[in-house]
Amino acid sequence: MSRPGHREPARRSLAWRTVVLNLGATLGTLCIIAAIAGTVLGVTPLVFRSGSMAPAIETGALALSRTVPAEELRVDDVVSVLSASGVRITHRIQSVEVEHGRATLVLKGDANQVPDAEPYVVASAERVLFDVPKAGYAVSMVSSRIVTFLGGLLVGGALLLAFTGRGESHAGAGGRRRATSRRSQTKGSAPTRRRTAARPANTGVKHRMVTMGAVAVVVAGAVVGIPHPVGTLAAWSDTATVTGSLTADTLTVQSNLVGCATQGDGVRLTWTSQDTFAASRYKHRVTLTVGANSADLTPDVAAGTSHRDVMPSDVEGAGGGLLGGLLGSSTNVTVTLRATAGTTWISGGDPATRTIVYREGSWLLGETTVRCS
Amino acid sequence: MSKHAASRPARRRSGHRSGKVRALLSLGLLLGIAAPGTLAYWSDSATMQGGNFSSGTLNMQLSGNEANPDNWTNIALALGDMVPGESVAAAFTVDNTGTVTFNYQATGTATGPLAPHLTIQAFVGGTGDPTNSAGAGNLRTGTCPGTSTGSAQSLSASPLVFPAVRPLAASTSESVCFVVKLAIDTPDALQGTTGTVVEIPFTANQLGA
Repeated sequence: MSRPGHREPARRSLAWRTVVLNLGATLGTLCIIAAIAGTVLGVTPLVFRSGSMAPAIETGALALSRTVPAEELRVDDVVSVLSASGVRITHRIQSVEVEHGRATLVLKGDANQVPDAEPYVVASAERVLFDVPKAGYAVSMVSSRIVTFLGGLLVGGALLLAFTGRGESHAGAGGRRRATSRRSQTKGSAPTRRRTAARPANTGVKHRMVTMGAVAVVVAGAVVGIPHPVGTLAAWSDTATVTGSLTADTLTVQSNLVGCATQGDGVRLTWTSQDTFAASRYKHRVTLTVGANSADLTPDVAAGTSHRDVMPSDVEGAGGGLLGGLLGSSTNVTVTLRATAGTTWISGGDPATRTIVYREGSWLLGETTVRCS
Repeated sequence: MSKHAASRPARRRSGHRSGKVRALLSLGLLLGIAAPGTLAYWSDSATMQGGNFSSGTLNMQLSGNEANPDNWTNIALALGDMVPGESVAAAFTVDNTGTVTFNYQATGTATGPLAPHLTIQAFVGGTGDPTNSAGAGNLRTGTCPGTSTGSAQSLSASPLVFPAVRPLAASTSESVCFVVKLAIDTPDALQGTTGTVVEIPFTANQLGA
């Protein structure tokens, strides 16, 4: 690039070198200062990704926060915590209870109508010191790929300009190499060689490697140590509650055990359901009582059915069979009807009753029967 | 650069040294790049979707009702004179009337004498109305359209009614339906009781929270 008689391009490239190095050094120094300051002061930058802390802190704000122990957290502090799902939430403390160095925080976004559903239990939290509106957008932009690429390019360019082009040994060292060559051409190659020899290449390379190695270690350490800005959700939330009411039925006594008719050897008892619903949801339990003995007829009469046949065998099962020795005798049997539901519900109060007659049969009187009284 | 530098070796050497220093200082930029780089991680992680920043509003309604701070009484979610084994179905929509996607979840709660004996089962995505049958000889039974999100759960445990939070995009709605059932073995002593209230609070959280 710097051929004899072409000094203008040479000056331009020098200007470029200065710009790249100065710009790199300035931005780099700023970053280093910020990193060191952040580490020393324990400051964590927060980028607000949403606006539930509005209007105090809007979406896109960059806030600086400082880690404080649980004991120092107070109601109305704006703090940043991690939710159970690992998301950073920054909201205002609505209540705080400290126990054994751990605080249970109820947080609420200023723009939210309700506090966060999840209480946070923390040993420490980042308390927001102040915020800069919109600055979070800039920080976020810096993380974009194109800006990252340009930054890398700048660093790479600066390193290239400063550490190559010496011309001692690298063929591709560019302008400086050619310039040296040109000078060498005028004075002969020997002085150049002598100069190079005066500063042994080995020492130079070693020196450079040590320097760069040290710098790399420092940089790597700083990168690990600095507090990285973290995105935080000032998460919105909302609630809505639907409600309904339920009441329980009271099973009605079947007061109208209305019908009794002969049905073969037995009788058919009929009733009407007293369920307040046309659905006739109640099952019915028919109980026979003979003297001191009583038994429920099983199974209960299904809902929707409103009759039950009572046969001699039913009465015998209820204790009527005890009377079987009495020739030609007849015994009154009390029928009781109750409504049931589910597995435990049964109608209370006085049940409907009706009396039927059990007649023991014999060779003289014929079949054993149950008849309406 | 070559000409100047070549003609003044001393200055050239010092220029090189300062150039090296500046180049090394520029490495500090890596800090700047590395730091906001964590943001890229956030936006790529599963807990964040869409853009880095969300501004707008988050609002949830139930069938067009804010239902907050005052509860919304759904007249379908009511049944009088229940007997054991009966159930009622009520359907409504969860509406995202804000401008950001949210995740919602609901908790089934009940107070009152029947509360320990109630179960709730959730259905989503149904079209049409639930049916509440009352045929002769039958208990009243609520049936929901849509897909069941799981088996019935006891309301006494205040369960989350959905097995996982449900995302709902801005300006969309989802149909939900609940069957609330009185257990078949509800104790006899609870006949005629009143004042049982079912409350299903819904919570919507911004995606990622």
